Amino acid sequence: MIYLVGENVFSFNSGTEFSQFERLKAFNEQGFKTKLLLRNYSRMLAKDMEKHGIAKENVINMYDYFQETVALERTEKPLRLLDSMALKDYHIVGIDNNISELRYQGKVIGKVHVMPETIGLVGVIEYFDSLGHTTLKEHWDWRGFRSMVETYHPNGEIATQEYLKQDGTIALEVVHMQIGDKVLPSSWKLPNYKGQTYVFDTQDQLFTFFLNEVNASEPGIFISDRRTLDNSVANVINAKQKLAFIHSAPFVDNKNVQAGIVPSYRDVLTNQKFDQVLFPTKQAADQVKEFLPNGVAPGFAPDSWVTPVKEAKQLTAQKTLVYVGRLAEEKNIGDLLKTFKYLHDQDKTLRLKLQGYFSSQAYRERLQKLVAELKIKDVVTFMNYDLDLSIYAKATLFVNTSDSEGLGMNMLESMAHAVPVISYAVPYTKDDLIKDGENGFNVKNKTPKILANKIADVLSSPTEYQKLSNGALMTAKKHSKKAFIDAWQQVLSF
Amino acid sequence: MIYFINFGMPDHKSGIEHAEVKRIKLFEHYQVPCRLVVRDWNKNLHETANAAGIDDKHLLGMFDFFQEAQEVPAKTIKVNDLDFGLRNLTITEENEKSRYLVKRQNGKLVARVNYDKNADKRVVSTELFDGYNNLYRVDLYDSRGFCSLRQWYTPDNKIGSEEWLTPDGRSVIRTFYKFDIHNKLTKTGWLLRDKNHEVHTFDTLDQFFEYFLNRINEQGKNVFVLDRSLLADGALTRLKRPAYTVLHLHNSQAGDSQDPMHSIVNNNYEYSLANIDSYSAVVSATKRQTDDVIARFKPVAKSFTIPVGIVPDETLRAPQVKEDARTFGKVVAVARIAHEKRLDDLVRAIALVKEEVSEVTLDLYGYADPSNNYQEKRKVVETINELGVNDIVKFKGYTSNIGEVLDKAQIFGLTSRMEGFNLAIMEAISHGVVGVTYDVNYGPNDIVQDEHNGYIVDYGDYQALAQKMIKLFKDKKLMQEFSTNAYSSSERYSNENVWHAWQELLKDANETLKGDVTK
Repeated sequence: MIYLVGENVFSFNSGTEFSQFERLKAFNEQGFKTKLLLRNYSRMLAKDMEKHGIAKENVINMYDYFQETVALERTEKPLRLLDSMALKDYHIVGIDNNISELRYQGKVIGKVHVMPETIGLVGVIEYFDSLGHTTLKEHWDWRGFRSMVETYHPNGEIATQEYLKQDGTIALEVVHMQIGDKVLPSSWKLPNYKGQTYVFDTQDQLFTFFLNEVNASEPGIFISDRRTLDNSVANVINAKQKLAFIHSAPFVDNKNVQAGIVPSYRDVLTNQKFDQVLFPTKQAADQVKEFLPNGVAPGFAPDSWVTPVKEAKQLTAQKTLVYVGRLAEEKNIGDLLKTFKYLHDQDKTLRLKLQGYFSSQAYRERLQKLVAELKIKDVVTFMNYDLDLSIYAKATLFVNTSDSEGLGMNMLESMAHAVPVISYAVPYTKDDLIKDGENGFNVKNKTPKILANKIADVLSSPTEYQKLSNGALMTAKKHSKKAFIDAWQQVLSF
Repeated sequence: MIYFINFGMPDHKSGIEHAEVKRIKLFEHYQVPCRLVVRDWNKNLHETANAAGIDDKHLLGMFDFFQEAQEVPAKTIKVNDLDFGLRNLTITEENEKSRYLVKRQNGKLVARVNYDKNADKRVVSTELFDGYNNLYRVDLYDSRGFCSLRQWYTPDNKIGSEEWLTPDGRSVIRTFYKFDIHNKLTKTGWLLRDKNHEVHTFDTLDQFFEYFLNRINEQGKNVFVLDRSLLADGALTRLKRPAYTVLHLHNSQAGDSQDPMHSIVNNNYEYSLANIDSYSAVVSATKRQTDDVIARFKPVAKSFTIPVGIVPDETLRAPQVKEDARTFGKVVAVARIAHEKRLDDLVRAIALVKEEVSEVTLDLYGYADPSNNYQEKRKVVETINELGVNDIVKFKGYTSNIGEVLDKAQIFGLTSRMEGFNLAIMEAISHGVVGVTYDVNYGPNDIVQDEHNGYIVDYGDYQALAQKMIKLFKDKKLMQEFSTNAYSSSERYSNENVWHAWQELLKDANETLKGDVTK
């Protein structure tokens, strides 16, 4: 068994999660029995898994494990048909599509929040006291069971969380008390796990316990994809192999590697609790080795794999630049917008489409302000995070202005759609992915003006464009599923 | 089913609890099912109720009902039975505080385990600490050996919520403490998870109790006898399904029982008597009280007189003790030394008797009321000193062997300001003691029959009381006659007679509900 250890399947996932999902899929298709082990509680997990095409048999969430609800089938639970609704005493009054109130003789005693993206299914039931304070919230899982009950301290902060089995018995209790100057989870208790009580001071201790229980029932190879999980994975007893995967660029300053390794990576690279630490490029692995004690050699394994489209693209009259990925500060989207501005000034038919989720509301507002200032509001489209990649059908070029990349999974995906990439030159991407004149260009002088000039050059030459599109497909072919599996077989010791 | 409603069944019982215990025994004797309904949670409820002779089948606690803990085999939980979820703990005992301290290897406190030093060091509660030295919860253990109530603490060390569990660990009842508009931490609500996980919220315990009474009356055709009116005087008038509701008076309905037509209504009965027509029946322990209630409140509800005291068959069958086998001149009183008992009047009467009958003695049996630093006892002592009767008046304290005392006494003196029934004087006549009492409502002036088994003198007239005692002491034949009558008059409180009174009520209940309530 291979265990991929992650935090969650989020509604909006970053490259780290995507890399895990791709690996889970490829390994299982290849016949390597693989499961995703997740630490975070999410009552929407089943829905997000389905959205990302992840089979429920391949995932064990820690909370589900203790609640005995792993791989549970979904049942739709309309709030008005719940056995637990005391219809003899209370009226359920629909307020809007999201909220129904519970009323006793006209007084609101509770509120039912409809499960997101459903019509009338129960999501959260909230109860009030005589003064209108929220006393308790009952959280329903997407799969249609009462999953977690939460109470509050007098000041409104969370006091207790009880995670339930389907018969209502308590599987896990979390207490929130004072730690330093904050109220935080301070005790994690399994009151009756296989006939015994277990208490943990942190969620990570509980997670370690969980990983050990899973490994004890079927020993396997553990791959940790997030540094927040390394400690728990490191403490697994009798694992067949322990690997840590670092998805991002490993150096504080990529132009000056002598400034050292990113602090949060140092521990996993040097503590020698893992059999090997892996990077998505061989170059990063080799560079990092220089900074490590003798005998410690990071390895390489691919981040992802792609399936290339059949045909290369031709330059069309209507041209569209695209960017797909997180809209975050380190992605430097401001420069992307400025680059587009220069180009649009020369070709009024040019369009820019960006698809992804914003790292914060503040960043979204900053970008919207910039778009207004640059007067490109009508020609720039921000599209929601979506797993559907039809954006590439009419895309001409992928433009990237980020500061740093582990490899650039989003750019590889673009190439698989025969869309060449023109990017600021960033380590690993410039060396391992984008080859100047073959599948795109790396622009060393990182200014919007110079990047725009390079793009303008490509957009003015149908011959060159077609050559780059062909080259993008060639690159994508090198990152096939087969290549992916072959490379992983080099590091996995079954 | 027939339900008797009270808040609990503690070790320290008042007359109401004593009456209920006797009544349940009576129903058991005649094999008619009944249950004591208990509103309040108490970790020792089953222990104290069982000790009073009420077994689990006759006990229905509201909390037990929802906790599914009506009948749980009792076991003793000791400190070593507890699982704190951590390994390698050290346990040290603090004898003087009746507790153990449980610590981690690093010395951090995990729990304080409090035990009952009189019950084999049985665990009564645990105070639990997280890994950051916060007391986060206190678990209270039912005497039958399971964690029943969990009190969750706030970061500033106050109770933030309470949670009751089933013995198998499901959370079923909660209360919450929140800040009110005056920023005071108050209990602001209850939340119940009933069958099918059905959630009900209540602002108060009263609302919760009302829901519960409706729950046990879902099929209708029950009898509810309200022994403590304030627990459910509103709820019983609002039951959703038919039931036979009984207001059982245990004290005077009038604030001044000597002025039953005009004085304020006893606060405990104000609401229930204002709503008396919403009840099926009113029960008083004496005919006189029944008459007074009818005269003033003119209830539509039926009125029944059912004694709250029962004289056991073995007492009725016991050989009678003749007067010459008793201590000549022995007067006894069995009563708390309290203001409403007015024992200083009895002392005054005895001082007068002594002038004529030098052998007279007075023994006072009962606890002294501690209020106002034993003010009443000090008052009685002062009167004794004033009248110089220290040698013949004795404080005997509480005795559990009152039968033996009564078999040696001649007269039972009673000078109370107010009574609900007075079990003590009933017990006295059943032992052939002659009662001499003020004409006090309610009980003594029914239990004592003037010039038959004793004397009733005007309320407050201790001189008259003394004269009657002198008369009895000087006329041995009369004393013997009254004593013999006392024995026979206690037949009124035999199992059979009291049961007959209950049967009248149950018959009316059956007719009213058109069914058999004893099923």
